[in-house]
Amino acid sequence: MTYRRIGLVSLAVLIALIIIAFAFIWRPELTATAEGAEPAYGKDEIARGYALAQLGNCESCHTAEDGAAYAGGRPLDTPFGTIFAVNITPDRETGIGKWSPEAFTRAMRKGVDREGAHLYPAFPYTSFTKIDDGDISALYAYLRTVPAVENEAPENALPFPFNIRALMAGWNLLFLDAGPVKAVSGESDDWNTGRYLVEGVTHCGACHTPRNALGAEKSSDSLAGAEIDGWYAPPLAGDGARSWNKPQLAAYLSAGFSRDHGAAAGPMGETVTNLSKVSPADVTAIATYVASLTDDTSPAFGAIDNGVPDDLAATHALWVGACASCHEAADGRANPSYGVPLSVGFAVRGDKPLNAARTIVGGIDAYRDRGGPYMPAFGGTLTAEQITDLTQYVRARFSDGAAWEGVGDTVEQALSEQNEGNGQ
Amino acid sequence: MSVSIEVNGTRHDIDGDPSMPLLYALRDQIGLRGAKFGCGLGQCGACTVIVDGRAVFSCLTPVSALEGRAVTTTEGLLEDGKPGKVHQAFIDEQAAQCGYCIAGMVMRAQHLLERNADPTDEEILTGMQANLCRCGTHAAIIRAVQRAART
Repeated sequence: MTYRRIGLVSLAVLIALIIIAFAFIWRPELTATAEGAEPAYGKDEIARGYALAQLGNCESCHTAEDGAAYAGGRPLDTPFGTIFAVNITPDRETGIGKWSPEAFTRAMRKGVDREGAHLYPAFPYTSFTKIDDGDISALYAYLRTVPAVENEAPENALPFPFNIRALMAGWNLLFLDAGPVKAVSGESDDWNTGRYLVEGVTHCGACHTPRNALGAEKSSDSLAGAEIDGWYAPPLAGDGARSWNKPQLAAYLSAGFSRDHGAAAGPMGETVTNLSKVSPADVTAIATYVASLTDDTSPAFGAIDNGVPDDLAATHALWVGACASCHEAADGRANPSYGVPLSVGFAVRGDKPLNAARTIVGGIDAYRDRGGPYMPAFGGTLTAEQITDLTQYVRARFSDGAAWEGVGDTVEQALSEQNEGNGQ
Repeated sequence: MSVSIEVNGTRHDIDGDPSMPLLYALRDQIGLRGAKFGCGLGQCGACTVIVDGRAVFSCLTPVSALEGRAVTTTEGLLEDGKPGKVHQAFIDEQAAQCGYCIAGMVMRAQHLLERNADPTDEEILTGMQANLCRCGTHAAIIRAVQRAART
């Protein structure tokens, strides 16, 4: 073989590779909808879409602080950089007004926008791909009814190479399992509905499943618990999960509280606020499925009180003055703030101090407008050192776990991020 | 046991249980009765005072947490014994009905204005939401905060 032939063959191979790569990465732009040609959507379809939007937390991510609903701009910090949620109102220039149902379906199923650019999985299309056609249509119909708002979301702040969207084509090949979930025969309708919702629109795994080095949910550790936004989303399945039964989960998911487990705080408080707006049947289905992931013969956390820790005797005064009136009620009944004995809660019994420290710093304020668990923020009342001691105190007194490490740093971090907007 | 706390620029030695809420120390030992006991759970805001620039519920603030920190109460906002700026705005807008919540409202408003001298209506609503008024004079209270911001 001559050098000339080798050169020609190499060139042909190279061209073939480029064509394959191009076909693999390139996605066509889909035709924009005609202006003013919006079809009428049925009331039932819009109502279903509204419920799906609540189940999917769409508004929470796609609305900036103090911004217009669904108009985008909320930052999402990832290990790869900051991604800003885009405007999904029907505005034709800055929103998704030009998107056809096909373009919307492609984004939900394949993570590609109308213009053909690859989206980042901060938009959880790896879950949304499991939603069936009817529900995707309903969600589209509902999003056509929200007020169009002109608002350009800020550019993502992603360093090289993560700013190359085409890389997501490779990522999708590895991690995107496109297409709706199939019902499992032999399981109840409720269970199947719950699984369909949990794996799809509610994308529980986005917070509760640990991610690999490339930011994809580890399928082998599905819902096994993960750190997210400085909180720890507890395990819902696997060895670390604790026993929840269906009624407890249904109450917790719709009202943010279970006497046997405590209150939903942090990002879960926002999720519960959204779930409170959907039909109880959907919440019950989610509860049915999630309850089935744990061994319901293992008991929930029982009461523990090891007494005042020797090395934290001075902190006991802080506990009595700031915490005990709600968390150590003399008659053992829940008070108007729904304070529970702390040993029932994952925040104190889990392996990491994140949730306990953040709840002391920021309190629980998600249910202010509709009644429910409430806790004042102690981030301004107590110093970083006092909160650190108190966090160690509740761990030592109300759990059988080892002392937490890194509590001081966790508290400092939570204090630095505390939102003082609510006047506290 | 005795804890030394600074209130409105004056040091006070507080005797008794270190877990005692600051509210009780203010009212029963120091004799400052502006801050009120409402719920004792940090839900109503009638006991609001400022500690190191942050509005806190004094009913849930143990005195042992206050070593070396500075407390300001509604009495501390007086200017030469006369109503201060925020007080006067509440008087001008007649924002009190029964008046029980007002000392706490004034302190919450003071805290808000120290951080944001020119708040929008939305920021006032959010900034004041930790405090409740059973009489329902919230509209007048909001006007009082707006007036104090303009003054």
